[in-house]
Amino acid sequence: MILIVEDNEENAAFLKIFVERKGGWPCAICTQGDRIVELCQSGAVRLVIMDIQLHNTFFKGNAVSGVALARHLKTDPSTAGIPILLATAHALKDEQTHFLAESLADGYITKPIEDLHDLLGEIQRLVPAR
Amino acid sequence: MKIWHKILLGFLGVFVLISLSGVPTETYYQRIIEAIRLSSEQDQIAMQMVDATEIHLLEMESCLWQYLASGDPANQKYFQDRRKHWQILSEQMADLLKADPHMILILKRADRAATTWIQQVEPLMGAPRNGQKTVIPRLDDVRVQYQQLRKEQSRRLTEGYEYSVNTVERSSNLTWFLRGLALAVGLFTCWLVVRSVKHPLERLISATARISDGHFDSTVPVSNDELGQLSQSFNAMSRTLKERTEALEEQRRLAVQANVLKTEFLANTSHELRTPLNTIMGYTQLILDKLARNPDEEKNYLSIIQQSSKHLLSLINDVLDISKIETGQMRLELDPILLKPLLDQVNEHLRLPASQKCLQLTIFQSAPDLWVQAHPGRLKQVLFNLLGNAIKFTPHGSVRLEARPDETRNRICFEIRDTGIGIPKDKQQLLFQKFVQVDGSLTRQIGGTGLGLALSKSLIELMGGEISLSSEGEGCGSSVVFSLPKGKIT
Ligand SMILES: Nc1ncnc2c1ncn2[C@@H]1O[C@H](COP(=O)(O)OP(=O)(O)OP(=O)(O)O)[C@@H](O)[C@H]1O
Ligand SMILES: [Mg+2]
Repeated sequence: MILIVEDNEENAAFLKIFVERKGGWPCAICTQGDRIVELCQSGAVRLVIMDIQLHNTFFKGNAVSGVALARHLKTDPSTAGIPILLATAHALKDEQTHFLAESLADGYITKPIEDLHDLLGEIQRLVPAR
Repeated sequence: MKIWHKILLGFLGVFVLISLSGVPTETYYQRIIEAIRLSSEQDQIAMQMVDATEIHLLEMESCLWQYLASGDPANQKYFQDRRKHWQILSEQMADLLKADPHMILILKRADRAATTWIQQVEPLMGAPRNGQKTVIPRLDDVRVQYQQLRKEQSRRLTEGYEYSVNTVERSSNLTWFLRGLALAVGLFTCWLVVRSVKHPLERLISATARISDGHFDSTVPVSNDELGQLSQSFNAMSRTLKERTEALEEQRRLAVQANVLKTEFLANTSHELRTPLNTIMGYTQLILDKLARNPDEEKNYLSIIQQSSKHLLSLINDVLDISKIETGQMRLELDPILLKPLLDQVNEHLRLPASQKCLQLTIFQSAPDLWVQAHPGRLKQVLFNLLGNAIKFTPHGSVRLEARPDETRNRICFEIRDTGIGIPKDKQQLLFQKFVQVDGSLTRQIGGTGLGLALSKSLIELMGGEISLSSEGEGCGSSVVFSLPKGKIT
């Protein structure tokens, strides 16, 4: 399952539809911090697409950004193996490198996503074989 | 060369000149002494004349003796001759000594004695020799008088000479003394001048150095002479400099701040524009790849695309509005508007976003027929902005808009109150500036460009109203109040 963390409902929805119907990956959308960590720990998640700016996402009672959440997943040994793709509309190069370094994520996609087919290729590349 | 060195040098030059002036003066004095010596020679002539006069008398006596002895009448003639000469010399002497009454007195006495003697002996010269022993009056008394005259004259001569030479020497000494005194006074004045110039100047120099090092509060003590005036203007200058520098520093700070805001704005705007664009491109891709399962689904995608496009347009319009307002090109036509339908439309639009966050949205008006003087589209825009903020920045609770008339000021007041995250007191004044956000960081939870409040304030002011914002602080909710003129029903 691919976990989509994105608080803009429309954007989350088209991603899910495309990845499921075109790429054949089952997807789930979640913006609740604690639930996300739970799902990842359950072993069902094979890749996370993580938005950076999350409104109303809380983890252990505190508001968190996608960067902090990704970092948490990457530093927790039980979830560190799950590849994470950061997705954000911040387009400046040094912003991106900064976020990548901060979050320890594996890749970065810039919104608007120019070609969704490339995204499928990226997922293919990152998801570890079972 | 330092100024005080120059002053010192100048004074020294003057002293040297004064001293050099002594050389000609000294020669003059020598000449004066010479002149005195020459003039005393005249007195010596007078002295010789005394001798000559006396000699005439002695010759007259010896003539007398010879005559008495020989009876030679030639002696008679010779006697008369001597007598005439004596007379002349005596008169010349009186003329020579006429300036000195004392001498004249003694001369007269001698003259008188001589005349008496001559009168006594003259008859003897003419009398025939009778062989008798004749008593000849003695000349000694007369000579004593002449002796007296000679002594007096010689005393007078030495005294006068010494007196003159002494006077000249004294005045020469006095000149030297005065020269020395001038030198001492000059040196002292020089020292005073140097002292009163040197220290203030040194203080000014070090203060200037301090100012050029950036210590603009350097001042110098003020004395009450010209340097004091200079110090005063110097202090005024350093004050002005300080104020100017501070003003410049403040302007620079503002410019830097504005630049930071603009950069943040650019990043934010780019982010805000990309989000709806992402939706548009995503759903377009779904349709192109024929991923919609049925026509209804496809129609839904299209309507999402349409909504996002509208959102994108409104963002672009916000940016354009701000720049229009800034360049003074925004003109609004104001009309009386009945509030109720307008508020209903706002309610209609915001019900959904509020309910998505489980917020209670209340729109309340104190009377059903409130009219305002406004531009309907712009008023709606302001209300969307302010209520949008309230919904955006409120995680739980309620958002309430209340409209009521303010009869005393003939206005309608709008208050938007929420139970949200509130605004720190120190940020409240700043938020009406464009681009300013409480949290401008990239990883913040809540998006936005930071234009909403700035735009609302400008629009309200263009419609003749005013706006203010208050909050008890973080976590205490916020309240924005604005007022517009009442609409006149025509
Ligand atoms: N009701 C509110 N409660 C708490 N903070 C607020 C509220 N309204 C405004 N603010 C603060 O003021 C800032 C500026 O608001 P403004 O509406 O100008 O910009 P924005 O909402 O960030 O972006 P935009 O409205 O342009 O999309 C906000 O970012 C927020 O920090
Ligand atoms: Mg806003």
